[in-house]
Amino acid sequence: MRPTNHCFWAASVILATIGGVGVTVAQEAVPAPLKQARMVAEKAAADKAEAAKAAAATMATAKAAAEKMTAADTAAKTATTAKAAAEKAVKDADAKAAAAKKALAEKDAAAKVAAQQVAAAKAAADKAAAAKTAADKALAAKTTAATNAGATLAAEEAYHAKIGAEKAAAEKAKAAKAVGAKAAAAKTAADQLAAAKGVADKAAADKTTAEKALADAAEADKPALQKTLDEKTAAAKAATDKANTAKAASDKAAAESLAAQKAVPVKASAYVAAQDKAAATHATALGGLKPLSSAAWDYGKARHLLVRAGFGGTPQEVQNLYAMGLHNAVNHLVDIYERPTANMEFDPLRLERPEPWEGRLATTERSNLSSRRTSRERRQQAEMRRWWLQRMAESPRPLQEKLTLFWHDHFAVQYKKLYRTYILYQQNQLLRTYGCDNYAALLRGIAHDPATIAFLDNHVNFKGSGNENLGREILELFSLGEGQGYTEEDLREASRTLTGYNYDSWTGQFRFLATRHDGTEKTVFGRKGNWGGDDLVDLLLQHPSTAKYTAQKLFVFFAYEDPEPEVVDQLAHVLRSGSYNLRPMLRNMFLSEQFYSDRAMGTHIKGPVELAVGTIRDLGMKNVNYATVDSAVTQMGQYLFEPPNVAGWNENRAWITAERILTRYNQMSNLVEQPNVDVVALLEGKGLQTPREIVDHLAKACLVVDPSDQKCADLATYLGDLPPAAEWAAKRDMVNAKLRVILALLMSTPESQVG
Amino acid sequence: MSDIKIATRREFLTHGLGMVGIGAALPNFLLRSSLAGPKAQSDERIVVALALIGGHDGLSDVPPYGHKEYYEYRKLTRIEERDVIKLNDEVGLHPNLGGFKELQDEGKFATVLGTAYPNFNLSHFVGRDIWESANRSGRTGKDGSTGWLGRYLDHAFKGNNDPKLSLAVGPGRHPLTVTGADHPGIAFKSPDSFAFVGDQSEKGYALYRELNELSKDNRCTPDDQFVTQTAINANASSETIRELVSGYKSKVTYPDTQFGNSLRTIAGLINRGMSTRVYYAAQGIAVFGGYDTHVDQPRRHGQLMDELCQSVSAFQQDLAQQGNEERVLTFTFSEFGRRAKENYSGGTDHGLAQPMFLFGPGVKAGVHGTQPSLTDLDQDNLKMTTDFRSVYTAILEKWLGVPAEPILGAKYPLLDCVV
Repeated sequence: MRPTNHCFWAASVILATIGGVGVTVAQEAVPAPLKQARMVAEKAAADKAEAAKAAAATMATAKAAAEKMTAADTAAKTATTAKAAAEKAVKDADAKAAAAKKALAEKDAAAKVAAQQVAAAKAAADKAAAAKTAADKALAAKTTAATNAGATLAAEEAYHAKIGAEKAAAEKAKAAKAVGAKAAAAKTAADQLAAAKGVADKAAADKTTAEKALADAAEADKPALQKTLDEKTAAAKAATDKANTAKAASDKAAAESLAAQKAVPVKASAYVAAQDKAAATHATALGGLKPLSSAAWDYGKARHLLVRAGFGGTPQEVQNLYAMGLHNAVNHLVDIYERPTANMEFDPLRLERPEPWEGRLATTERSNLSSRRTSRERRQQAEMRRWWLQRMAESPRPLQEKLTLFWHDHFAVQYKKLYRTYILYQQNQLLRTYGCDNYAALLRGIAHDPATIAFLDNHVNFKGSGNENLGREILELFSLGEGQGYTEEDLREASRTLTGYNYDSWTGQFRFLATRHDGTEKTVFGRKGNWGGDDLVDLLLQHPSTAKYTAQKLFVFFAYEDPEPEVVDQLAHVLRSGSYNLRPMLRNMFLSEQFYSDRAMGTHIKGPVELAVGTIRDLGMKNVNYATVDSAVTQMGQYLFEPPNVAGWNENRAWITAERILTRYNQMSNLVEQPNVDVVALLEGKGLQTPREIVDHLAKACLVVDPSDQKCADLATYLGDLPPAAEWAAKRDMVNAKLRVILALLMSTPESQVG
Repeated sequence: MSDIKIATRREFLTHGLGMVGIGAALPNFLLRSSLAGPKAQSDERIVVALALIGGHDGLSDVPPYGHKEYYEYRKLTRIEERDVIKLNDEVGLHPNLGGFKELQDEGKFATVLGTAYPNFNLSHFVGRDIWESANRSGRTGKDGSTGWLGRYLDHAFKGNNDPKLSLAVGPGRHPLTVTGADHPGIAFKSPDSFAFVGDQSEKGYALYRELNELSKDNRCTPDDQFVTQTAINANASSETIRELVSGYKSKVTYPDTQFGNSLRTIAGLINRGMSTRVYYAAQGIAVFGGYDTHVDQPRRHGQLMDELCQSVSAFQQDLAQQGNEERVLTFTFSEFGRRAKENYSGGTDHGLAQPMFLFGPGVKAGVHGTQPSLTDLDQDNLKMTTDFRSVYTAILEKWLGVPAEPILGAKYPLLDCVV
């Protein structure tokens, strides 16, 4: 810029100098003597003109020059302007570039700062996260510590409560024992008193005799007699003293005996209170359901317990259970290994492997042999059904059979697919052994169970050629429950873990075909590993849905449908935290308030087996034909070893259709009208006489829900008068026949369907 | 049925009446009924639902022989192209379904391809409940659960308490499809065993009926009421039903299977003017697994196809001979179809989309809907191309003439498969 300005100013100065010179020349022409002057003037004028001309020329030249200068100047100016513009543009561009550069630099700097800030923030966040993790860990540790402390405390309390209950039990036993001892002592003391009194009476009599002898005697004999009298007097006094002592002792013993008698109910109620406390603290320690108070225990609840945790029983059996008290009654049913075994075994044959020589038999011979084998197999299957029904009706461990029935429904398999009694029997024993013991062991057993493997096609589930039937049902029906925390992908992966889990068709034993097992990595519930079938069982047991689903199903089976979620959660907790041991959970459930609530009592629609076996037990039926029972439960829709599908029977309302209700009435009427049903035996010695008393007693024996007063009255009218109770023994057949008619009608009521 | 004189109750309890004869030899308790049920008007329309139990392989029922992938996916469980009864260039019928092709040629058979529903569930039990309830909340045996044809009765027969409006023949449980809130319906396996045979003296039977009435002074939980009401319905209808069925002699031969006999019973009841408007029968209960062919599929599935075709063809023929064909629409459904690719054990695992079959002069004969792609699969499953409730909508609106939305709980496009 600067040089351009200099040029511009220099050109302007030159132009101003030239103009000034021209003006100065014209003003110097002044006139002198005329001629001369004229001449001079003319000359001067000429000079002037010359000069003027010259000046004009000069002027023109100067003007031209000036114009040139101007044009040049303009051009220069334009050029300068253009240059200036260009230079300005360059300068602007430079400035912009510089600005941009500067901005870039600034941005770089800002970015750098920001990055630094981010890094700092990240560091801070990391630090905070670490701090939070540490805090969480600390909190978790504290929580765990608190939980552990709580658990320890609860366990300790439970322990002390248990010791207290044991002590109370001992004291109750001691008090009961003391009653006998003190009574015996009182009796001894009373006997001693009587003896002493006898001796004293005799001594007094002797004294009187001696006095009389002395009065009547001659003088000479008096001294001797006086001596005798003195002796007798002393003896009488001694005897009286002794008698008095004996009386005091006897009174004391009698008082002690009375006190001992009075102590018994006190100790007994202390014992019950201690049991209640022990049960309550134990339930808290387990995290389970709150137990019922013993004060609420009554005959109806004892009956409910026996019906649900078993199959029912006669009024006498219910009375016995009631007399045990709540806690002992529940233990009586749950602690099955303290009861004798059913002592009733079944020994099925395995499938017979054809011998090589059979191939040389004629076709008819071969087919005869084959049909003989088939009919033997069918026969033993029918025998097994009867064996199990009898076992349910007679076992001293009814809960074990009830649970076997529950698991038979849960881990359902059908004979009509397998035609192998032996492997079904093995599964039935597996259910019986672990079904009231430990669910984890049971599930593991099921993964290895030939009947389950065969029924759900796992014997054709191989590496590279999978069959997901077992994989699906083990998740959906056996452990987690439908839709409870697994995906279709989990299900397929689970099926892969089970590849190669097989069985030997002839021996009926599990076998693992290692070469057919898919040994590659699988992802089940988000966990990667080269899992096998046993690992799958572990993964299922670690999954929270398993305990929940199992507890829910058990509760629904034993108590009521649609339980409150927290009830299921608590029972699931007892199951899971107790390593899937079943009895602590069952005990907690059978003691719980919920189990005896209105939602539970008398609300369960009985399944056919519960109905038939329950009636046999309620009536104390002897010499039962179990082929009839088998046929009855089958007609009513519960063909044992033939559940309708892998989900088992549909329970509760699903048992009842228009046809089924009539079938149930028909079959149950038929069952109680069998000639061997001795109703008299059930009623004898109960002091029953009027028809109404008899109807009420029968209804109480075989129905959980009482029929209305009107219904009982009408049944009593229909029964009519029976011979006096004393004659029942002599007219047994006639009385039984009349009573069975009433029993059959009681079996044809809606009340008989629930329990 | 034979004319052997009825013998003991023992025989009845073991075999039912079918084994021991009926008719002139009817015992007293069977003659007590008023016999005549309310006659149905001849223009009253009937729906018969047929459940294919177990989840059927639609790719074998209606093989998509026109898709080369079909023969890639299916090595052991395929229907060879030469055996397919072709319906169009793309799909055809299983060779054992020849009778259905004949029905189609008479304008009485329709196939709907690719039916299913969103967010599928491959559990047998949940799947069946969804198809039967037509919603996601209904559960078999659960208090308050209803099925779509049961809700149809609630809607169209308000105030009509005839328990026989809904009838299920054969299944062991009461099916959801024909269960309504006000119309619980009646289910029986065989009319022969549908009778009370307890105390048969006049006084005894009267007392029995009284013991099975709802009494005011009794405890009455919903379950007590359910049991009592079922008994009341059974007592009110068993004799009528038995009499109607035993009095019907069909000229048509049905397969002597549980399913065949169920359809013969239904045809008999329709013929005798039974008031029932929705019937239900199930195929595959008597055979283990039914259509659940994880293994050994071609043999088992083939037998079921044969039984299905013979039974339904006999049923249609029977109805036609009675003059009742015009008022009956029959359809099939299952809990799900099966996986596109077979499983190497000669079977197939649970899958999704399935074809439905519709029968009767009331259907638009031919193939409806779109065959699901065999390459564009959802977790190896055929994708749905028609929501099954679009078929239900057609049956409700076009066949039964009621609005579908209040019954199905939502609006579905109507599939044009009913005249």
